[in-house]
Parts: sequence; C-alpha cells; structure tokens
Amino acid sequence: MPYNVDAVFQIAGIGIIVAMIHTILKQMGKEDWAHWVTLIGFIIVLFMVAMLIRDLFQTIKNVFLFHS
Amino acid sequence: MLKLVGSFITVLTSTWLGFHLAMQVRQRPKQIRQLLTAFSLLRSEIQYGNRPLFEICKLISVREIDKIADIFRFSYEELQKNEGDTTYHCFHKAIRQVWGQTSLKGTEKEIFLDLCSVLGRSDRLDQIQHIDRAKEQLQVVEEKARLEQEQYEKMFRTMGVLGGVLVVILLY
Repeated sequence: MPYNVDAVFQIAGIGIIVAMIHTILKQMGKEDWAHWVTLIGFIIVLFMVAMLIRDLFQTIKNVFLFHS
Repeated sequence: MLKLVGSFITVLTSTWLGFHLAMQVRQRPKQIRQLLTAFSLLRSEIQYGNRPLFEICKLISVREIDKIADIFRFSYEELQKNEGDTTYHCFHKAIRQVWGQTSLKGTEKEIFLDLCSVLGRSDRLDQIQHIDRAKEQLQVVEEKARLEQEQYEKMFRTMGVLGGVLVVILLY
C-alpha cells in the first residue's frame, strides 16, 4: 500500500497548519473565524479518513471474495 | 519535480497576496494623514493667500508625495482645461482616475467629495469651516484605520504564508 505513510503525514501537516491558523486568528481577536477554519480542517481530514476506510473495506471484501 | 515547482509557485503567490493585503492595510492611515496635511495646506492657502483654486492645487501637488499629489495634479489639470465643468466635477474626475491606485476606501472619498462640492462656492469663512469639518471627520477615520492596521497587518502576512502551505499540503 503506497499511500499509507503519505496520508498520515498529510493529515499531520493539515493538523499543524490549521492549529497555527487557529492560534493566529484567535490572537487577532477573530475567534469566530478561527472556529470556522478549525471546523473546515476537521471536515477535510474526516473526508480523507473516510476515503481511506472505504479503501480498507474494499480490500477486505476483495480478500474474502465477497463479490456481489 | 513538476509537483515541487508547482507547490513552490503556489506558496510564493499566496505569500505575495498576503504581503500585498498587509501593505494595503499599512498604507491607508499613512495616506489619510497625507490627505490631512493637504487639507491643512488648502486651509491656510484659503485663509491667508489670495490665489485661485487651481494654483493651490498645483502647489499642493508639488508639496505632497505620490498618490495624493497625483489627485491634486489631475484636478489642477482638469481645472486648467476650462471646459465648463464645475469644480466638483473636476475633482470628481481626478479622484476617479487616481483613487483605484491608492489604499484609501469609500469613507475618505465621501469626505473628500463632500468638501469638493463646497470649495470655491462660498465665502472664505464658510469654506474654512467646511475644511475643518472634513479634517475632523478624517481624523476619526484615521484613528479607525490605524486600529485596523494594528489588528490586521500581521494577520494578513501570516495567513498568506500559512494558507499557501495548507493548499500545497492538501493538493500534494
């Protein structure tokens, strides 16, 4: 599985950057924006994780020959 | 390799955008102050001098620097043309030409145009009163712009860099 490590690093990077943006926006007194940015980052990461899990299930299906 | 070049360009662009926005925010109070000095000059010229308005405009355009000088130089040229336009029209044309290049916003424009509609139409005392009023309003706007600068200048710069990095990570 070639994407495995890359995906983890990508998610970590998004987490770090979003955390930094959150901190800066909060410092500048834009807490509402900060929360929106965090929420959007979370949704993006959730989407990526959902894709990976879909792949995982597909693989399991293929391994155990559950072809419909 | 191509990916790396692309991501580098993305980061560079968003950084530039952030710095540009920060510069706009930084320039605004400065240019409002320049406008204020120009008004002071106009006021003293009207109060103590006996020159016609287009000469005062020329004088201000020589004394001031960059964009504010441009506004007064254009209005000097418009007033010189003598095409039958009112003073207000001449200033309006000049402002329309230059305003896009400045960092100034609509509030200052309104104050300026408000003053221009009075210039050269009534007696000395009335014009001076109007200039004083415009200056007071501009001072309030300048204070606000300075607060905005303190708040947003650094934010725009950092957000430009971070936003670029985020986009690169998302698309990589």
